[in-house]
Amino acid sequence: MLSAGCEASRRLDTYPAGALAVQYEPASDYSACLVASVTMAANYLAGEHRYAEPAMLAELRQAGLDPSRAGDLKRHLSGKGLHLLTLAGRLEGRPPAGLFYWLRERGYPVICVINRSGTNLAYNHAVVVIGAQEPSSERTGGAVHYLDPSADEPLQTCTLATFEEMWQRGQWAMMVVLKPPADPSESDG
Amino acid sequence: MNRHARLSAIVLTLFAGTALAATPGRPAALTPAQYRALVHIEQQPEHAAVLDVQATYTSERDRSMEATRLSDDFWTVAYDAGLPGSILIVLICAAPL
Repeated sequence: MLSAGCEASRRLDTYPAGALAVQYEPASDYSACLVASVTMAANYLAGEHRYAEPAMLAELRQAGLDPSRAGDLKRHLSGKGLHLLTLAGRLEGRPPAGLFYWLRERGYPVICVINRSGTNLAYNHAVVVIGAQEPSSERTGGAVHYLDPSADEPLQTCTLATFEEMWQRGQWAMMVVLKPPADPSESDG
Repeated sequence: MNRHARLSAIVLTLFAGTALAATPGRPAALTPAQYRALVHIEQQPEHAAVLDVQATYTSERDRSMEATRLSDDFWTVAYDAGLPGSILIVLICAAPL
């Protein structure tokens, strides 16, 4: 099924092989796609359904924070002992900004801001990337699998080229929900 | 070595050897040094700009629903104003053009 107006994202019925089994959390409001995405990622990190989108949305509003702004979500999560890593991402496997790096090598779902409609920032939309297949050596193929908190069919997939175009319009915004080490000031050794 | 090159060298050193044969079943924990490096990197201007990124719209369906609402509002006004009134409103709105 093609999403109207979208460059060939289509729904999936089952999680693709190798995709992270992130539990879906729908957005309760048109401005809550980022909150829902952060909730999904935070629950996956916790290994349980610890956070709910409606409650987090209410907390943000009560605190006078903007639930659609990345910086405000970062601030809100810090109060919960979590760190929202905010980077301008890349469609590659190198750390620290490589999408494939976080997905495959570290096992984290990645929140990406995409724009299916063009350059109007009003149509920026947050989704949770749970899997990706890099193109073959013949430079063909490749796909990105993501959960859309606002779609009727939440599990979607599209080609790498399509995702790259949508993500570029979203200013390559990439977020990862992290659990800071117990004492970040400690040395590793 | 400029600052960007130094940061890149630090990142490659801290994150080298983290490649795994398969995707981890659970998110791999960060070491304190890796965490500190990430916090430092995200403060660089190219990454700090992401803090101001907003995601508000949900889907094409909502966009088309908004267009429908605008259309409905126009025709409601046109109906209430009647045909002569509608023509007058259009002429007034088009006057600046």
